[in-house]
Amino acid sequence: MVLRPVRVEASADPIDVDDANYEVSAKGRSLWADAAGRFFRHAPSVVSLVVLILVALFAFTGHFFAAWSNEEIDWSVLGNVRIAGVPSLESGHYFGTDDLGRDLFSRVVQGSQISLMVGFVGAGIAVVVGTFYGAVAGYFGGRIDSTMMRIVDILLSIPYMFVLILLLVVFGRSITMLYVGIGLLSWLDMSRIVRGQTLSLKEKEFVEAARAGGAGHFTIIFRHIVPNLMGIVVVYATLLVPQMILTESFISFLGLGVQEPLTSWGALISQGAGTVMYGTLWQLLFPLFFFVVTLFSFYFIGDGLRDALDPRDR
Amino acid sequence: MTMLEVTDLSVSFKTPDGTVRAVNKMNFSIGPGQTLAIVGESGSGKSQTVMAAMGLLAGNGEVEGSVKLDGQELIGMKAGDLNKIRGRDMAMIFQDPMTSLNPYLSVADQMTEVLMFHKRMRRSEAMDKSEEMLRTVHLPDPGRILRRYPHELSGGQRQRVMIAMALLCDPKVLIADEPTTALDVTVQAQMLKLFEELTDKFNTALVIITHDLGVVAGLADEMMVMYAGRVVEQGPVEGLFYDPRHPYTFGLLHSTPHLKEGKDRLAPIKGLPPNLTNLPPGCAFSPRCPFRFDRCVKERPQLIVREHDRLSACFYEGEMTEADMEKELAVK
Repeated sequence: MVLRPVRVEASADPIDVDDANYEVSAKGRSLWADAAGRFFRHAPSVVSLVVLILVALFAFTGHFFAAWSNEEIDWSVLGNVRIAGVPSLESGHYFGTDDLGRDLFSRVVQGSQISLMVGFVGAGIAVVVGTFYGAVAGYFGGRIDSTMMRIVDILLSIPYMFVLILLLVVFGRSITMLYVGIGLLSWLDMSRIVRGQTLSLKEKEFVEAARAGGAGHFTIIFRHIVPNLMGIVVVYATLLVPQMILTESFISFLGLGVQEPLTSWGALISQGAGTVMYGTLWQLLFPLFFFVVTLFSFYFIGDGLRDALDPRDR
Repeated sequence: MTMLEVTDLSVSFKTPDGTVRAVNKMNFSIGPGQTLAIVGESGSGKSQTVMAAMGLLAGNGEVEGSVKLDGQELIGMKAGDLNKIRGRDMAMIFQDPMTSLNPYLSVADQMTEVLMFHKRMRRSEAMDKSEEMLRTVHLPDPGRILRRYPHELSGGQRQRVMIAMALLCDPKVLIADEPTTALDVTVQAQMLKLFEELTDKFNTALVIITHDLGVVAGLADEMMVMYAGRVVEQGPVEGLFYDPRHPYTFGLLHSTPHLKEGKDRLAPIKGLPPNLTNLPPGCAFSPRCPFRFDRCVKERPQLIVREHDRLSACFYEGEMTEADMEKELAVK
């Protein structure tokens, strides 16, 4: 076989713009736009998102629709809650009243606000602190990484529920203390996940290219590494919100969390569970319904996001 | 006039298996508009040479010697100062255009970043300049390319974007680390033509690292052949191609397919490259060399001037033929 030399003429224009396969659109689609497209095609995620928005609307605008405020005691009901306090449109107690004759609708609105706040604040701290901490540890590596991650290991090895309970007992039961306690601990897992991702990201050529282009360490971390981490961070954060809500509810269920006159889903469920034997089942079911629906929504959204942002796809 | 002057550059890495001397006593200089090719097998130290010059070595790497960019010493410079030089006076193009762009940022974001950092330009100015540069590297419809994300571009387009990005600040020295390896042949040819055009236009000194001798032949003025962390032969490209003085260069040339000659057999270099932690005491190439004699095994040949611009590190001075390369090596 004789091979003949082939002359390759380099053309100045490598792309045929009129080629039908060459997609012509004015704006580029970012990976985020692609992911959003996939997410919104996934029915369970969209339904969950709608449900979650409704729950949030209920929590933050519900008090406009309430006939009774959350502090008022309906004296006509007091002492006869099982019969007079049942959910009814006529009395204005849509969800009935609690054991003290307070309007349960208003109480659930108030509880939803606090529970959602705890969830979002906890997850927010985790996202900000965890991402920064993990990205710095992973990027710099070596001794800095070891020291930073050992600190995380030590903090993780402390039984956190115990610490949280101690904190609340020692410094008094207040919602601020609850935020502090949850915030202190929520970022630990996040920082580990982020660090692991950063370790592999920093070896990518675009990071090296950025260094060769003169970018400093913090430019590289914030401009090149963090955007690439956001996928996994968002997925983990959506799973963290329900976890935070659960923690708060558990603490409140134990009676250590949110204190009267404030309330939360956990506190309401706890009270509802305490009075079930008197036949006032609605006191348990209404807060429980919001609690369960919200957690389900978050988990479905988390799943949808994970599929949409599939990390293997990068 | 020299733009980049490298003197006695050595790079070593401390590893658990011992110290790896990746680059030993490199010397070269390159003037504006000139092109130098560094050729060698994987692991011969060609990439580490330029990484050291750019200050991009891994944490366990150590550098000795001197690298002067337009008279300014780069080795031992503070990281902050080096960051100002990298990207502005000295830019680099990487091997794989698929992974050297950040997938989450649009082309415009990545290009303007460089200008906003080094030239303190405003975004709108930087956009205009980026668009102009994309036009210079012959990307059609640069305005649209700017708004795109890397995954929407083809390999050739991305490499053009990388080249445009590297040239944004009008660097004095451009380093291209195997810029055509990941591209298909027709695109390779376009890239080489582009490099040639750009070095003429901007009068940039180009250092091109490759293991593809075809690239060297078309583009470079000077050529260095590296083996096991050392330069074995150095000189003008024509000289090395038509009259190689080192058996390794000879072997490389004869293990490259030539379409014209219509040969149906190639003469590969026998054996494998040595382990850098455990080099033979003599010439590192001697275990694979069909021309070796006693002296090669005992003593390491120095890179010395053979003719006025030809350097070679070999004791053998006789003829070399293809038949010699085919000879079975005597087992030691």
